Amino acid sequence: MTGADAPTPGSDAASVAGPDAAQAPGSDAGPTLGSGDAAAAGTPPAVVAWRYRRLLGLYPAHWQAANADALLGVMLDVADAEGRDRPMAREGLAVVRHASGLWAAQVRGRLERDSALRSFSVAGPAALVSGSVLAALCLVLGELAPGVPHIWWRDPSVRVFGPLPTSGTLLYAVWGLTLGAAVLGFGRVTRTALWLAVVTPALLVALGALVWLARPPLTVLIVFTTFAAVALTSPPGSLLGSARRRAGLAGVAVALAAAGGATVHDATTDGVLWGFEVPGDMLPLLADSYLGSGFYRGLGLQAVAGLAMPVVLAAIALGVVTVWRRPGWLLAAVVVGEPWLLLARVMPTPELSGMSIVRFAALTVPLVAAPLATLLLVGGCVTARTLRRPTSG
Amino acid sequence: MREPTVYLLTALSAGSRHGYALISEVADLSGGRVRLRPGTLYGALDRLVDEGLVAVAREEVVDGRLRRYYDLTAVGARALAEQAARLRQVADAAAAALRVRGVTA
Repeated sequence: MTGADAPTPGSDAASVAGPDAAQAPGSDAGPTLGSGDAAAAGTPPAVVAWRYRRLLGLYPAHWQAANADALLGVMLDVADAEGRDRPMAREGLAVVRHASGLWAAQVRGRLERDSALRSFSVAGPAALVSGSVLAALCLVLGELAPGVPHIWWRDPSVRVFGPLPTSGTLLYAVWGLTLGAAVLGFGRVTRTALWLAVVTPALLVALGALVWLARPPLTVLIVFTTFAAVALTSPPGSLLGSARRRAGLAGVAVALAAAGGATVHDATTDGVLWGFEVPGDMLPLLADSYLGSGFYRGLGLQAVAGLAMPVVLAAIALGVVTVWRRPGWLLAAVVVGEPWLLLARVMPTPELSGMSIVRFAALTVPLVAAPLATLLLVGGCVTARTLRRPTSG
Repeated sequence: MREPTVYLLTALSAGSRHGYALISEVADLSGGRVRLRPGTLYGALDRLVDEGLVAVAREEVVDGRLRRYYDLTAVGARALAEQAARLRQVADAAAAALRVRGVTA
C-alpha cells in the first residue's frame, strides 16, 4: 500500500463537497481535535474522547479489544468535522444497534456451542406443546363436547359465544395456528401467532367485561398467556429446529392431547382418576361438575391437572438430576410445569373447593420452590462459568 | 445488496480508505442522501469483512488516533461489478420504458 492509494482525511476532504469536508480532522491537511470546534468551545480533547469512549462500553469485550480504538478515531474525526464535543442521539442509536447485534450473535454462538446454555432452549418447545395440548383439550372437551352447558357458570345473564359456550374458541384457534406454523417450519408466522396468543386472553377478558360475553376462567387464560410468553422468549431458532424435531414436537402434542382427553373422559364418566376411585359421596357431583357447570369447573380441569402432575414431577426429577450439565431443563420443567399445576386451582364446584385447593397449594409450593432454589444455586454457577469462558469468536 | 453497501464498495474500489474517509466519500457519492454514522459504518464493515468482500489493509496512528484502512478484495470487486451490471440493466429497462412514453431518463 502506498501513500497515494491511502488517502489521508485531508485528501479525502478535497473530494467531498461542502464546508464539513474542509474540516476533515486528524491529518496534516485538516485540523486536529485540538484545533477543532470542540476545542474552540472550550472542551478539553480528553473529555470529548471520554464521552465517546463511554459509548464503546456497550460493545462485547472481545469486540472492544479488537476495534474500539479504531471506531473511537472515526467518531472523533466526525465530531471534529461537525463541530461537536459529544455524541448525538443518532450516533448513540447506531452504536446501540450495532452492539446489540454483536451481543445477540455472541449469545447465539454460545447457545449453539455450549450444552449448558443450549439446554435453556427446551423451554420454548415445551411451552408450545403445552399450550397446544391444553387448547385442544379445552376446545374438544370444553366447547364442542355434547352435553356441555351453554349457560356460563349457571348465569343466564352472560351471553354465550354463538353456537359455542365461551369465546375461548378464538384463543384455541390461535394456538392451532401456532402449532401448525411451527410444525410446517414457518418461523415468522409462528412468532406472530405467539404474539397473538399472548394478547388474545386479555382481549377475551375485555370482551367479557364490556359485552358480558362468556369466556374461560381467568386462571385458564393466565396459563395460556404464560405458555405463549415462555415460547416467545425462547432463544432464536430453538423453537422450530429441524423437520425431524418439528415432527417430534407435533407427535408429542398429539399424544399428550389424546392421553389428556382419555383421562378427562374417564374421570368425568367413570369416577376414576388415575386409577383412584373418586369417593362415593362425590359421585353425584361428577355429571354435574362436568356436564352441569362445564369443563372449566370441577373435574374437567382437575383431571387435566391430574394428568399433568406425574408428567411435571417426572420433568422436574429429570431436571434435578441433570441440572449440573443442563440447567435449562429444570428451568423449563418449573416454568412450564407450574402453570399446569395452577389449573388445579381453577375454582371447582363449591362442594369440591376446600379439599383440592389446600391440597394442591401445599403440594405445589415445595414442587416449585425446591427446584427453583436448586436451579438458582447450581444452574446459576454453571451458566455464569460458561459465560465467563472466553470464546473463539 | 443495499444502497449503502454499494456506495461503500464503490468508495473502496478506488483504493484503501479509513473510516472517516469512507463516511465522507459515501456522502459525496450519494449526493448527501446517505450519511453513515460511525456505529453503522463499523456494523457494515464487520459484515463485509465476514463475507470476504472487504479486508483490513493496515493501521496507523495519526495525531494519537488509530486509523484503520480497509481495502476491496477480489471477491468484493467481483460482487460490485455484478451489482453494477444489475443496476445498469434496471436503469436501461426503466429508460426504455420511459422512452415509450416520450420521457427521456
